[in-house]
Amino acid sequence: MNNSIEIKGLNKFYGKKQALYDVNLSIRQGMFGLLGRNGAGKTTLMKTLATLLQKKDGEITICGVPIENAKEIRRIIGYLPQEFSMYPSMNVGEAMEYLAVLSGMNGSERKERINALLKKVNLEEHRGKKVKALSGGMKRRLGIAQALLNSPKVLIVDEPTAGLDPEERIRFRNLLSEIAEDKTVILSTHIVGDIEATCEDIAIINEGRVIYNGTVDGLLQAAEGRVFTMTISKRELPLCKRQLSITSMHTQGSKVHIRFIADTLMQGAEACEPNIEDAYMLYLHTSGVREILGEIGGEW
Amino acid sequence: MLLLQETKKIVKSIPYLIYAAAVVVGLFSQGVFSFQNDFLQEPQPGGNYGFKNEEVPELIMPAALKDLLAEFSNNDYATYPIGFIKHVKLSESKREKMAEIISEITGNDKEKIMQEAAGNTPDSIGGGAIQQNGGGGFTIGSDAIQQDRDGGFTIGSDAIQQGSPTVFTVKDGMDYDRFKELMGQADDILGGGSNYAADSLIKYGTVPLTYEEAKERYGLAVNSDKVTGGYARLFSDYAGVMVLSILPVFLAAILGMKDKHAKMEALIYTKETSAAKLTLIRYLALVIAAMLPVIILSYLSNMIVWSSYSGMNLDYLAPLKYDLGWLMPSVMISTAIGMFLTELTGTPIAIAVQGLWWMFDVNMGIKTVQAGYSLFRLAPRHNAGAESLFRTQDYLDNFQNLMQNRLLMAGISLLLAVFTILVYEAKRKGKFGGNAFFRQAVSGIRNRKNQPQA
Repeated sequence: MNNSIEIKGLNKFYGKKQALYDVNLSIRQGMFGLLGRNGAGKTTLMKTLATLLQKKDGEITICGVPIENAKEIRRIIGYLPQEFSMYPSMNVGEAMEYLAVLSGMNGSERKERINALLKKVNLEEHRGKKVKALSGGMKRRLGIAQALLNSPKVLIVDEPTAGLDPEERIRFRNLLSEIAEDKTVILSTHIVGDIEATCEDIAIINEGRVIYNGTVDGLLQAAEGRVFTMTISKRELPLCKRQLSITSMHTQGSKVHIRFIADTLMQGAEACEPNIEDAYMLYLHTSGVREILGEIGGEW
Repeated sequence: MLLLQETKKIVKSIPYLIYAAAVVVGLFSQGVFSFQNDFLQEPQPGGNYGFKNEEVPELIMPAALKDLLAEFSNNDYATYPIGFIKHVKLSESKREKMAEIISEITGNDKEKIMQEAAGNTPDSIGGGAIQQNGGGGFTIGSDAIQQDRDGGFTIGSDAIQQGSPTVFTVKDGMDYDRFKELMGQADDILGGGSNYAADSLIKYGTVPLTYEEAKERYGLAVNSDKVTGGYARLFSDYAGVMVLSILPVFLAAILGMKDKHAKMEALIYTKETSAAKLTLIRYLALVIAAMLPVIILSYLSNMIVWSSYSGMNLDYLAPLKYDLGWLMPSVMISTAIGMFLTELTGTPIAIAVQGLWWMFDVNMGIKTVQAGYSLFRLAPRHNAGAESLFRTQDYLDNFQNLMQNRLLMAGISLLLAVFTILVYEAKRKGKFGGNAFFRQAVSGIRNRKNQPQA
């Protein structure tokens, strides 16, 4: 049995509202990033893979098992939802013990596995700490530990780094990369940096549609020659904002350095190496998402 | 292992500690820890052995007629249609129908009855008190119903009494079956729940117990109940009606929402354990946890009297038998309603639903406190205070009804547990949104109401 996930022609509705449109994805072992804005449909796709939502039509197989066989799917996946917690009155060890029992693990296996996982996520010393006393990052690590209890072939992680401080975020990314060595890990996020640091394969989803599916390198190549920098005066900025798709800007005295996407080189501008954020913006831009650039084009 | 985990989770929770405290306080307030004051004593010849109710027409007919006349003359009838007391005042046409009934029972003219009662408003007869005169007769009027030497009754105000009052008595040759029919009609006119209902008439047949009967009753309490059974039964009556028919629903509803509040739902849904296993184990854990303090308290209550009967053959398992056979079905149904409605709606509405049922059951049982074993009773009753200890025969006579009731409650509970599994599985697969579904339904109704009329 391989560790791949095949999604073909997936459609999902909430009542009359369509949330996913004809999604086709082939995900192989390793880290797979699902990138998209808030409300793009990432969580819907993740929940569908985790058997928490029913699809309208299409086919999904995880490690060769059709998604309809929910019992078997639950045996081979681990899931960390976007919003989760644990009974606050339990301590870390008790919470793991409880979820391990729900995962159908027997006594000795359970004990060994919990010890190993708490060590892996660096929570061994906090075993007796109440869940409610954990920091955001520790709670996410505990979330990963519980998702790995049943030694899943596929780990589904929905927006795991939101709200974490930079140090915790880096630690968390590294943890996921380690896990992905022998598993398929699907990481859903709206934070481009998470994908850049960890994933080789990605998909960009927008308004329920997959607008890019391929490698990070492929995404960067597509943006080659379309990302530029330019230094302008502050008073020119409003005009530039209206005319250009600015991905970031940096003020220095009366001058502003802008980074923008364009089809051709402009006078006074210089071509530069695109990063994954530029490429992501470019895809959203070409998909008609003009306003996103206004939102994200912050200072750098 | 899961059962242990779930039970531990419950008993370590704050709602459970509150539940346990409420059970202790609730039972303490009912006096179940002072049973040592009620002692089974072997009857001795020449004593007073108490009373019993028997269907003796000669006793029932005049006694019931006396009450009916008193209420008729005041036009104020006490009924318990749904348990709560209800004072019924009849319209003129219904009074006439009631007068027809009295007329047939007494043989007196209906018009005469209406006329004699007409002057006896509650104001004019001082609340309608009934007094017995020197001759053993009753009259109404002069602030009283009076009974004459022959056992007849008279109705009349002071004004009427200036003339010759009419004597009311059960007419000669009154057939008891017909009497019961007429009383049934009276009950119908009053809307049911009156003292004249078929199952209530026997209360008018109060006869003293003979020495032999008292001896037999004592023998049953000692040999069949082995003494402790009677105390366990009395404990079950109090515990069932005041505590266990209502409190477990709080536990089930509050703990049922715990996954949602702790944001644990998605974590648990994606684990391997099946909906059936998880739901049934959680149900079992709730029932075990709810029963734990009850079992302990039932033994504490029972043990108090053990030393009073040293040397006698006591049934030390009696509290446990009654806990499991009598009380557990009440806990099961209360818990099942709590689990099912909480899972279905995601709200604590189960507390309101069970609370209503409990309130109606308690109040409907007011008239059957001594022996309430009907099929749909939430909490069976068997309570005549200290007398309960001697009422083994009543219990044995009603045992089949009690078993039917308890099995029905347990059966409904298991059915609700199955429905809970189905709802849980549907929510787990995202087929049913629970609370969201109910919110939408409520807002749909609200929107329809707010739509402007065309």
